[in-house]
Amino acid sequence: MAPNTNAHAFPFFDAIGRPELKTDPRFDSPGSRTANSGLYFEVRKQGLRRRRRRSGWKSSTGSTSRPRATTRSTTFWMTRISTMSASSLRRIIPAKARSGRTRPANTFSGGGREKLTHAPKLGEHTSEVLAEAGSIRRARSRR
Amino acid sequence: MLDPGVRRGGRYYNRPAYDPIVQSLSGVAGTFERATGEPRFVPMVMSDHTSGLIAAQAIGFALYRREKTGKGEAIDVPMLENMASFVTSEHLGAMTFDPPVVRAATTAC
Repeated sequence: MAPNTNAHAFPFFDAIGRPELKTDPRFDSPGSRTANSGLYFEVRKQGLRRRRRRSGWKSSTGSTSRPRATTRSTTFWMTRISTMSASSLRRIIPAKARSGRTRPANTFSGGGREKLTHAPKLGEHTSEVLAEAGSIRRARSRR
Repeated sequence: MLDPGVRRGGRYYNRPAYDPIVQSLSGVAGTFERATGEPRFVPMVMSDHTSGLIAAQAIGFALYRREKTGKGEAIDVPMLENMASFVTSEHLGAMTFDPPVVRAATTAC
């Protein structure tokens, strides 16, 4: 839970059974909660230790726009890769070994690189880079 | 450039995208649980900063493509997917092999 604004924090205080915190000068505004961030963290920690079903939190805190999320472990992501919107493995077959890689997290409307190439060998693209940098004469001399 | 909390169409697309939410869902907080037994946030807005840096990088790539081709493009830089990728780059490494080397994932930290 990350209740930052009063619109988030006050329903949260109600949800954990601590409505008096809404008028507590240590927690009654974003500034005071920031100033007492250590205490505020403990309040959230203690409050969340009271186990409640997700539907209970949802109804207590009102809108689904409340800032709350389950802590996912790395094991979760690694064992459920196929359900992630972020990274479904794409199998590639290099020359000697078979492995997969995750789908890139970012999307470019102009498209991304689909064809994998090898790591450049020393000097493989020197002429091309020199030509691009404007040094045509030096590029030609290297050919 | 669009810098949403979650990739469009993703299962968490309609969730609010605050840094602690992204840290929780992406597994950042969960990495502490593996070490200390309790999930904790990184005490800074790491997801915001990291996504911002990645977005700047992506803009640079797009500008380079525009220089080469004369065409602009739209970019999506979702915070959750980028942070999940950030976290799993070490932890997922050995599982990308076929067959996966599962035990190697536990040596990342």
